[in-house]
Amino acid sequence: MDELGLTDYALRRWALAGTPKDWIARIEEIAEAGATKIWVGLGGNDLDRQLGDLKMLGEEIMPRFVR
Amino acid sequence: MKVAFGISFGANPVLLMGVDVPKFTELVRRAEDYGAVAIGTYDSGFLGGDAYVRATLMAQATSRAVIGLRPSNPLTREPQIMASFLASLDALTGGRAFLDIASGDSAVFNIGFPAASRARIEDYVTCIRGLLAKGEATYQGRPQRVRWAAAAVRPRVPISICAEGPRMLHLGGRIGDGVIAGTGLLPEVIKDTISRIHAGAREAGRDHPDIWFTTRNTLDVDHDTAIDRVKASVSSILNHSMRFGLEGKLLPEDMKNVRGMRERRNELIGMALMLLLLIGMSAWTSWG
Repeated sequence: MDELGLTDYALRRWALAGTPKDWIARIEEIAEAGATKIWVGLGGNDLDRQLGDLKMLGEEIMPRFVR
Repeated sequence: MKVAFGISFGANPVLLMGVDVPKFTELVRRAEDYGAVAIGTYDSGFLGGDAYVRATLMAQATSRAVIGLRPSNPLTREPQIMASFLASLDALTGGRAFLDIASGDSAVFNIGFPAASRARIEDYVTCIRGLLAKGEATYQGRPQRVRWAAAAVRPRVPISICAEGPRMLHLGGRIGDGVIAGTGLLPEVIKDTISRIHAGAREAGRDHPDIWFTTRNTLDVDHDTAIDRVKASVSSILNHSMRFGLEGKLLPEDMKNVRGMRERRNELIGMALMLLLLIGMSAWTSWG
């Protein structure tokens, strides 16, 4: 992907990545465009790391958006 | 802006041990407490342990979120098996089961099958719906029956179609209770995706299905670390969303040219190898 010069485009198109602040800005942008239901995955790490990621998601990001 | 979240847990650890279960169920319970309305796990016997086991644990750890496989595929589990599982999960959760169905990736390719066609996906979905509602259906021309349909908690468990291209989006609009779009998160892509799904629903004369967007995500206190960690996952979706063609996928022209450049580069490498071979053969003939 890097070799073909596709990385920046692919990240812009598919990634929701960064700090909680980055996520909030990105989610606001995509929700504004009409994507108001999103799946996120937390399965890429061990269970302790998943719990840490979930706490960041659940305590710093989701409260901004969840009904 | 209000947003609904689904949270997906994979096979990590690849095989859940008994000692892992309390942590795993705690994760799932917290996801629901934080407000996730859907919780799922992928169904790939290639990548890790059985998804039915994880989904059952998820069902027991929750009381509000819908629980299901996301995604499964029409090739690794016969519809009778899948319908029986969905009915069981629906019974266990009091009507909170769901299924996302895709054409198949690691699970399918590693048993020597190509990805399922749209026709096969439609046949599979129709069959499962028939088994749940009436206990009878056909699949690939074969009659299918189950004895338990009358005991099902719901006669229809929601089945969503996973789509990354225009034809699958249309199919999702036409037959899906929902569509899971892996098309991307750029504003123009989101708008195009919704429009194509709505067109499929219009063609079938039905209401619009629920539309969910998948993300390739990493979260970290450090921005650059998160970006580095997400690259492999983004590379994967770039591959499987574009491998069946670029038509209608809103790829910029210069990106399409990259593919052309790669093909031309491969041709040049092939020509160079052929030239070397000819030179070698010529030298061998001269010396011989």
